[in-house]
Amino acid sequence: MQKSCINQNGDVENWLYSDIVKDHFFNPRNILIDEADYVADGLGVVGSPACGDVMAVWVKINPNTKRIAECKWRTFGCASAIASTSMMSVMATENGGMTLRQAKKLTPEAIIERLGGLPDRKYHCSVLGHQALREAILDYETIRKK
Amino acid sequence: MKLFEKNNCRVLTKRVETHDVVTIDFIPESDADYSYKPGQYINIFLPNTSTSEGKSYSLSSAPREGVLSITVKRIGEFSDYLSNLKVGEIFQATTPYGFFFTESDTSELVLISGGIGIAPFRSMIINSPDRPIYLFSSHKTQGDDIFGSEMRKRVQENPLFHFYETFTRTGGERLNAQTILSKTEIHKTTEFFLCGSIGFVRDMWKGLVSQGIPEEVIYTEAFF
Repeated sequence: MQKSCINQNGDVENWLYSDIVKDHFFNPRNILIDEADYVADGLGVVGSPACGDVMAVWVKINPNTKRIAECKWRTFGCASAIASTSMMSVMATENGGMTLRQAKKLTPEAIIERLGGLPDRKYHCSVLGHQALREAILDYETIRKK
Repeated sequence: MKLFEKNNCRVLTKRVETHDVVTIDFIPESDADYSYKPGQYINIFLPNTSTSEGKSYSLSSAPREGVLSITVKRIGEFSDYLSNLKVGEIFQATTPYGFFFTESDTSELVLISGGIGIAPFRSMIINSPDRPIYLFSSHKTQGDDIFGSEMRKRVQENPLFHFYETFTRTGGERLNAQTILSKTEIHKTTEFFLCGSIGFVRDMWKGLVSQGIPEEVIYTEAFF
């Protein structure tokens, strides 16, 4: 595993993570800073016993297509957790949005593959994203049944 | 938050499975809801270890058995401590959680496990005698064989259950997607479950996807 170090320009060399992870960490997509005025169809909040990270995911479902129209999130966690949730939100909403069936089956492996890989010790970060999305969908389905 | 609510649980019985694996039957001491679906896990907390945040263990018992069990492989301080708990001793655990289960009662299941990854599959297999199930189980040696005799007996009793095991350090082939798919009857409703180390699950997932299996029929649970 390569070690990171700072060069004389202040840039990180031999970055431990892929360029895609770096991009999603420094430029997270679909992050929700203030949910006060955001009306979601489902909310999932999960925490990781492995590291103490906490993640919240909000989803909006297109009522016509039943696909995920929006997937917003906020994560209290490390770079891998932020990048994982950001990528998860992109995968959930791209190409017209995932169906609920597809979203339920979005695995940590698929998220990590799109990120270009994560160190094994950061695997649990992608698990958190997967669980938070599942909880948000479960919340939506439970509300709908009511 | 479900993952952090701890309840006292008491060790009822213990069974030795292999030289480094034990199964622990336990009972909650509160009225918290411990109903579960095969494939789910609990988070266990052992304050006397350096892992204060706890670790997750799949339930290896089946709901229809009316007992709660986990199967623990000794790999470090936490699992050693857990394995050494005596009958009557208390540990803390959350209620069952997780999404590693099928929502269908009738789909065919292809279960692929590496080592202790067989634990949640025992729950699925015992709880579903009326659906076609293929279990592919990989261990290092015969001495590491967990639940093997139970599964071999089940093959004799249930024509819907198919069991393939391999021991990789004594000449057995490593599981790969091509071999697995060549031995299974795949239908549109077939679902795949992968459980084991991070690397094992990753390689199996990539292999199945590369062989054309849709991602949305593959469930994964990696132990870390």
